[in-house]
Amino acid sequence: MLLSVNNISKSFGSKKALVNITFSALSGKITGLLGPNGAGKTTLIRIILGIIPPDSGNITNSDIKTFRRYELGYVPEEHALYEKSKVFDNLIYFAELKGLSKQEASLRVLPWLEKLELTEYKNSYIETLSKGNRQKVQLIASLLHDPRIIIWDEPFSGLDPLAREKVIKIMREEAERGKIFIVSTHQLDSADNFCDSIVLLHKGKLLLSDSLENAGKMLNDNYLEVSTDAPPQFFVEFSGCKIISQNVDSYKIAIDSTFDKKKFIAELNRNYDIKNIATGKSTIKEIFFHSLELS
Amino acid sequence: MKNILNIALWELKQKFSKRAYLYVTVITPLILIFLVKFTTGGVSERSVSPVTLGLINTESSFINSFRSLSFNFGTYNNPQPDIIPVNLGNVSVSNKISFIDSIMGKSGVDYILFKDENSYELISRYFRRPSLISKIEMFTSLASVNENSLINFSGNKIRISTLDLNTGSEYSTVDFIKNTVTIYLLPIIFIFVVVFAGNSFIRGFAQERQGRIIEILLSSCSRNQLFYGKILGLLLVTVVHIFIWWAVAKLFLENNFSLLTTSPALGGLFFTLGFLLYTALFIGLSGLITTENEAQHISSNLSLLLVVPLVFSTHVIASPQSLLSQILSYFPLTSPPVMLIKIQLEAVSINELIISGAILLVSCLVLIKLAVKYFNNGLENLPNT
Repeated sequence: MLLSVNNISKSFGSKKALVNITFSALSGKITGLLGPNGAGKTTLIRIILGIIPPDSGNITNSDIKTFRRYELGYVPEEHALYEKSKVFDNLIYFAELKGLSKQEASLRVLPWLEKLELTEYKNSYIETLSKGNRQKVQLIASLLHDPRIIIWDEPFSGLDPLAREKVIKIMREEAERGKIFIVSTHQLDSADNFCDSIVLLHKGKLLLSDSLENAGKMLNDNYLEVSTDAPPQFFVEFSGCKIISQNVDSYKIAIDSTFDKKKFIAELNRNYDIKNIATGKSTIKEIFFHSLELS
Repeated sequence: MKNILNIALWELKQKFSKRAYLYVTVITPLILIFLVKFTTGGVSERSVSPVTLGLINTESSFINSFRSLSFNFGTYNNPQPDIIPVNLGNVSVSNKISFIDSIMGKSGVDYILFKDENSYELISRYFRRPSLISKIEMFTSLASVNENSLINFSGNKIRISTLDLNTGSEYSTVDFIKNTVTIYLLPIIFIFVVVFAGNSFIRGFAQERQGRIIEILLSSCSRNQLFYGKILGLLLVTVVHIFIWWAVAKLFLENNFSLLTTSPALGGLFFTLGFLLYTALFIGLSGLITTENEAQHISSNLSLLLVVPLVFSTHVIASPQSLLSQILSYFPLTSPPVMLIKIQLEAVSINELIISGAILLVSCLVLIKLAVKYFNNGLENLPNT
């Protein structure tokens, strides 16, 4: 199954929120919708969910042309729950809106509460819960009706490291069950842990859409990690390379087409000690900045 | 349809699952009942004064029969006659109602008995009508003239049998509840529930927008389902609210209380249409609101609109056929409470009912359509975090 976002554009007045965005999200994979604040992630999610219409373009699903609302599971960035109502009531209400009967929803709630260690809070009012527990309730609400497409916006907000690991595990399990899983975050550092493919947005424009492996490979061909006692000046003066990051005696350098690897190694070896030279393993953050530079 | 019902039931549950809300809903009518029941003893003193009865007929026989009786069937201790007949002349008027209404407005005549050939028409300052009916009944029983048609007229049109008058023309507490509180009660309840429902919706919706619950709702149902679910929810909340009040009143006022003493179907119709009109207005405007503060500001201003008919209610009760009363009955934003008063008073013609009802219905449909549009536009501009 495939969710295709085709040439989506959206403006609010004179402000272009999204320009010609095209990408696909595959079932069984976790797609990271990534970008800094104001990149257009939330607007794109709202369009995918059918909350707002695009100015142009469309969203299609390989199975059905227009997917139905009950096939979607969504967690917005805020804790979107009724504060003055109980955990159980909130979950049942949202599940009923997604087409489950009250009995069916009640049966499904308990195992999820147990899984996320919320059983004791079943009859607690949302306003009495901690930030992390509210987030867990929200995550459950998006999964209870067993949707085929799951979209989470900043799902780790308020979660401690243990809960975060548990949530990533759930994401993996759901993806492995053949779900289309889209996770949006502006925290690029954390996305390395769970993304199979990435969609990078910046100021409403698509920077990159590919599997994490391909994106990294493309980038890794252009990076070297060098452990040496050479001073930074050496890299500045050598043609075709640029320091990306530096750590005591190791450097990560970006290289371009004018870079002569053989000459570089020979010259470095002649003047300094080389402990290690390897092709770099890029993080999503690096991929983002590299793509931004290219664009 | 299922989602509309789910949303409506959730709105209902959200309100009545809170204990404080339930307590207030029950305690408020209890306080009002206490105030009405135990503080209306002084009301009787207010009406210990002669009342004037204007007599108009196109023949002379009816007035003559009044004159021949010397009209001495009721006096106060001072000793003042408790009713003063005023001969308003032998007039022939094409528009009886407006003519009589203008006389009553200008001359301070409380009641007018109109006779045209063999038919009688009784016009009064409505809130005192039961007392007049009693007098007319006394008159017709004391008079040697055979006024069966008058008795029939009174009996058919006005509730005489349930009156419980004290001596003279004094009102008892029961009369006060029946004749004054009841007339004001339904319009006041209307205004209260509209303000309550509107405010509660507009603030709740602002919270849903701010907290982005609205996005979850919209990812689960269509905008129209959300709109109509909210309206239905408010209607349910209102019905339950009124039912609780009604039940409490019935319990503590026993048989002396009725929300709609006359034409419950018509009263219900105007109540419902009015409620829908204002609810649509509130929901439509909610599309413009993004924060709770804005919600509070807009709902307070809208609530002021509803005070207008209340301000004019005394005038409407005293002169239901005046130009101002007519305008207020036709203007859709004021017509629901004004028509509720008029229906209680039986001071409304079929034509007025039809015209006012039609204007209200059309306004309601137009406003709902506009409300859907503005509500939807508002959903286009959801807050970003």
